[in-house]
Amino acid sequence: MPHAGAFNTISCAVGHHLAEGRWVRTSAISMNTQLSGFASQRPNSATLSQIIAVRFADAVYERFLVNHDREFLINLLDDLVSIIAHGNASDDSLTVCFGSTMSGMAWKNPSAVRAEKEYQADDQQLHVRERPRYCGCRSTGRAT
Amino acid sequence: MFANARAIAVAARLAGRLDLAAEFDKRAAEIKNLLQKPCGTPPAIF
Repeated sequence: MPHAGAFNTISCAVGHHLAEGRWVRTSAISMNTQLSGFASQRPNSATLSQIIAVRFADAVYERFLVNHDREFLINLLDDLVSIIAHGNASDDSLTVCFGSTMSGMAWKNPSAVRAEKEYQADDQQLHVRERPRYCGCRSTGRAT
Repeated sequence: MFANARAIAVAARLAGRLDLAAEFDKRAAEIKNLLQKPCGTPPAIF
């Protein structure tokens, strides 16, 4: 994949995996070490766009709520901020992050931004059209 | 995106960096507003 990192790894689901990993009791897997390593590396732009789109910072916070490791959360703070800041500044396709689109979602490429704008235009046209009138029966929803 | 911004705001508050916390609180609020606005369904007509 073009956005893959080392060993063809991709980060699409990393937020989910890390967040759910907070319930693992065994110390065989040092999740904190993995989180630190992941946050402190400087991935390429394509990988970064994936990271920004996932709930990485939220996963770290959710983990803090379980293990109360305040020091760990604070130590990662600058890395979490730099991931967001770097993503907003490094790539034109990422400038829509953090609420530049109408929905506030983080589209990762221009075609997706165009698609959302076209959808919004269609949606607005739909709202000005006369809507069909329905009878009071919600179960059938038949037009009268 | 909202959850990430909120998480960073909380971490910044714990670290005593209130300026950073305020910045990400603001971002979280903006994202929440932007997301919820178009998600509202128009009033039903019966």
